[in-house]
Amino acid sequence: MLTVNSAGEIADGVIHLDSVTRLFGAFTAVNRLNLRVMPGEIVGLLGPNGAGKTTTVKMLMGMLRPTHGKIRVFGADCFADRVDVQRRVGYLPDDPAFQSHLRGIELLEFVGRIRGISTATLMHKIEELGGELGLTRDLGEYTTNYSKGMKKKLAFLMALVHDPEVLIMDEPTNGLDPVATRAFLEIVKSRAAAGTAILYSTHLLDQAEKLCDRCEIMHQGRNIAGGTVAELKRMAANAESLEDVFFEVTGKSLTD
Amino acid sequence: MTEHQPGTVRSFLKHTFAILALATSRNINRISQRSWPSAGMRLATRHKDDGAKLLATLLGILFLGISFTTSYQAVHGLANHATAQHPMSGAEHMVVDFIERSILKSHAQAISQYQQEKSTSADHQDMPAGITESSIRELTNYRLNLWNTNAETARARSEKLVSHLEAHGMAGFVEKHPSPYHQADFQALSPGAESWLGSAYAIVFCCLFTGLTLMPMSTRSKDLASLDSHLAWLYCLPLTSREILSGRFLSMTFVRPMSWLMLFPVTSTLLWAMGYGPAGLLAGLCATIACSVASTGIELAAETWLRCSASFRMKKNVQAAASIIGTLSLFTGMAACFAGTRSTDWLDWLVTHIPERMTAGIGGLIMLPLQGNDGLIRLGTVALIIAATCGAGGWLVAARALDHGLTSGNEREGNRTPQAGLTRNRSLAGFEWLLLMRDRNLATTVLVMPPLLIGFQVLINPGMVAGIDARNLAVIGFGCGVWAASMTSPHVIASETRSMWIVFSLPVEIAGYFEKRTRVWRAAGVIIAAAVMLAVAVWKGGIPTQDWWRIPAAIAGIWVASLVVYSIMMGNATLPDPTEPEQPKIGIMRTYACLLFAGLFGTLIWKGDPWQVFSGSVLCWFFGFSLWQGVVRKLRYLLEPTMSARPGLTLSNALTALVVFFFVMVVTSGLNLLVSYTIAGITAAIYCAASLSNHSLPEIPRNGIRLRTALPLATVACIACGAAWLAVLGHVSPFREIHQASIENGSIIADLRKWHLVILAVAAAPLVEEFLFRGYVLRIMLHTWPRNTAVFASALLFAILHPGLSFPPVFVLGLATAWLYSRSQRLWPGILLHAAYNGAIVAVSHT
Repeated sequence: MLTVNSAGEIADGVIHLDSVTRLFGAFTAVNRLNLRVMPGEIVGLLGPNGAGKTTTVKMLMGMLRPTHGKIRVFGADCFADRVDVQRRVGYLPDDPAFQSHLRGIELLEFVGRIRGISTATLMHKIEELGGELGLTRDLGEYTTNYSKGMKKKLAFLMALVHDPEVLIMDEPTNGLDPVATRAFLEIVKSRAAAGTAILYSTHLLDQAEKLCDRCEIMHQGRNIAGGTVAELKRMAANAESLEDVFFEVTGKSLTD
Repeated sequence: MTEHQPGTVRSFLKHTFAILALATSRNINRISQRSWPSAGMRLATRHKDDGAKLLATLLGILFLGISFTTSYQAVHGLANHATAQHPMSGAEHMVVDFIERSILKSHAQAISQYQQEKSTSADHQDMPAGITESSIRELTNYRLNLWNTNAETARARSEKLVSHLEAHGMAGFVEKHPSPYHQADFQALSPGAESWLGSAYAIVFCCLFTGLTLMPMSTRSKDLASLDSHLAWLYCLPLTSREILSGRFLSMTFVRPMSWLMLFPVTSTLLWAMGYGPAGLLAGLCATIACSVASTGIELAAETWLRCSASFRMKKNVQAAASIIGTLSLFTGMAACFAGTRSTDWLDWLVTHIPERMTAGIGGLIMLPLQGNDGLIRLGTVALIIAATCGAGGWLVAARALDHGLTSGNEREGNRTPQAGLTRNRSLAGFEWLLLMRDRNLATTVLVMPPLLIGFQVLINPGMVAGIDARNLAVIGFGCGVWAASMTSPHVIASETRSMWIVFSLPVEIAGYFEKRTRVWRAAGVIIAAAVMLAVAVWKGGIPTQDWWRIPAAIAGIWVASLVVYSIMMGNATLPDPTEPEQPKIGIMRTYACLLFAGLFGTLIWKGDPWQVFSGSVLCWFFGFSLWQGVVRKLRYLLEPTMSARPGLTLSNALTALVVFFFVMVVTSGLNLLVSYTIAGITAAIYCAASLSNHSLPEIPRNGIRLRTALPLATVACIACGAAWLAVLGHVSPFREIHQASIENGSIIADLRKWHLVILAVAAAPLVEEFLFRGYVLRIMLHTWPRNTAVFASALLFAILHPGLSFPPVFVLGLATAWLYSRSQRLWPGILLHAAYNGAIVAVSHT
């Protein structure tokens, strides 16, 4: 599955997008996108609305199929071998919805059961993560009564209970309160330190600058710039922050 | 009484139409609610849907017309054409009817007592036999004349009584049991007689009205547990909450088709029949307005107040209760309508035992004052007072709820339940059960309603269970099981499409996941069916032995039919439209399709002979599986809005080829059989070749087989099997008679001496059938199932499409040829084998 070259390094990323194109009818949502994420790396997917970030994330989750190109996680095709991929991946959608007449704890139980996690382990995980995110108090409540932030926390918990090797998130801190945002950032960092490959899309450039090892800026379906924050800053003249780079890069290509 | 017959075809049709009318009126109700605030917007954006809605509305009007006509007839039956045919008033006539029934009932009691005594005492011959028929006649005449019956009617009635007695061989019981004729019995009944008819009308109307008010509240489309999105939308406009409520109130009363399509015809018919004549139309208009205001008050309170202040569980419980009460009162009302002139002991009981004004409830209270001479005046006062109370009460309650703001009750602070721990190891079925139990409304619909409705039918129509045998038992069980199945799949689709992403982010196959869940539901359906059948059987004193096979057939039928029902229902699965505030629903046409299919299948179980039931079930299973294949493909791409899998060849293509073949056979049936067979074969072959050239099926690797040994062996085995079966047909008892009968009816085996049939058997059939069944059907099946399953399934399909009497050898032939094809990927060995087998059969029939 994983190709290892003679030097013992991993040649392909854990997440590997090779010239991926996705069309919706005549509209090109993602255009020949290339992307690698290595283990322990946090990669931010930046870009204006409609740049193709969510489409990319959905293709990674096997919900959409690329029109052209290969999209792989641990060498397995995300669409054809969806089940294999999902065993090692945690996913946090932008706007999670749940069965309204289940309690949060029961949804976690359901996910744990499908993933084959023992009750003791699951309970331990829920206590640990729920405590950090400040959700424990609300887990006994029906999800229909959850606020947006609570839904997000629950979905995050559901993505983490099986200690995924890859974490894919769509606008993860959207709707979270400051306390939960900080907790979230701590969790993400510690996961990355433990070797989890993390890819997330965001609009929060400050946060991305602080958190990400690398950033990919998408525009009109293409990654027009990519690299570490320092590299990106070097690309644009007089750039002091990632925000400057973002405007520079996307603005430039808008005029193209 | 002879009217006690179990459900005749006519009454069955009446019930069916009424149920369909109700279902459609609910749909109309829903449309009308949508139409008020945003009709223009919706029309502009959703033309496609509105065509279907228009069709549903037209159908609804049609069904309502039918239900209106039948209820008019029922009203007439209830009034019994009193003024036209008899010098009595309608009420008096009804009373006489009632008394006659009670006389007959006492007769029956006396007779059974008499028979008991007769059987226990040895000296029954010594009983005095002094009472003659004429004395009974006199007595009856006297009794009936008390009620001013004319002489002719009285004579007819007394003759009926006498013949009833004679039928039981009880000419002489009156002397020994004179008590049934105490005059006091009649007099005790007379005070209520005047109001009987009015009370009966009131009860019928009240039941229907209550049902129709409560049923929409309990439907799944109205999820009381979440906030009303229309209300939320209106709340964002510069309108005060009072204005919003008033608007909603108007939209629910006067712009609602239900009022005008149902309430108005029904009330005006009732009033007309009660003696108002054309003035009944005006009175009906008043009653309609009053009723719709009253029902709107109730509904508005439920819609707004319940949503805003009750807890999640409470709402679901209220919905469940509304659904039970609503359904039961609807059924009572309909049964009372259709009871008409038939025996209605329970209606008599209701009318005589429950104080009339109490039974009548809101609807009845509105109707009751109409009985008096000053009816219009009383209508104007009482009805309007009640309607205004309900309407204003509902409005005020709703307005008060809105004063707290637009929240759903459990969103309010301090309402959090304490954290629940992980309970235990729940299986997938456990989660299914949890979901069902949480959705109390659905649980009642699935689990409680079928036994409740059957029990209710038994109660109001005792004649129905007088003849419980295996076929009735089987159909009752089948109905319960399929009900559960068809109720649960909308639940899966409608309530969970938004949370489908969870399943997509878990390491499970989507189709397999849903298949597992449907298996849980099917098992539940089977368990419910078995429980109901067992209960009825125990209650009726044992499982019937005659036709017992229909019971396992019904159980298997639930398994098969629910596959079809699920596929039809889940074929509708789409992602929710984010602009659509309500949850996606199952189209009404799909529901009707499922009802129709379940009805046909139930009829098959009820009427068919064993062979028909078996072959029909197998064919339905194939049909269901091919539909399910489509669903599986759709589920896989559920979140993939623009792309779907390249449609390959599936079982539905295989079935289509067979349908093409048989269709052409039927169309050309006037021609010579050989010619028609050849034309059909060629047509089907063209279809197969065309579809094979469009979608190439990859070759299945050959599995080494030595045809030189395998082919002769298989041929010998098949011919031996055929010969053995012919011997069985000639000598073994049940088959010999059937075989003889089929030969007399012109079986093809008897005609095998004709030359063209010989050509058909030896040349045409092997070529066509091998190409069709092995070259196409089996080839597709080999890509669907593992090899052995495919071989078995294709042989089964092959054999059940042949005459039932030749099933065993043809099945073996199908197995052999399918096995040869699946191993060698060649058609010619099968053709040779088939020709040799058919030739051998022809040769045997020539000797």
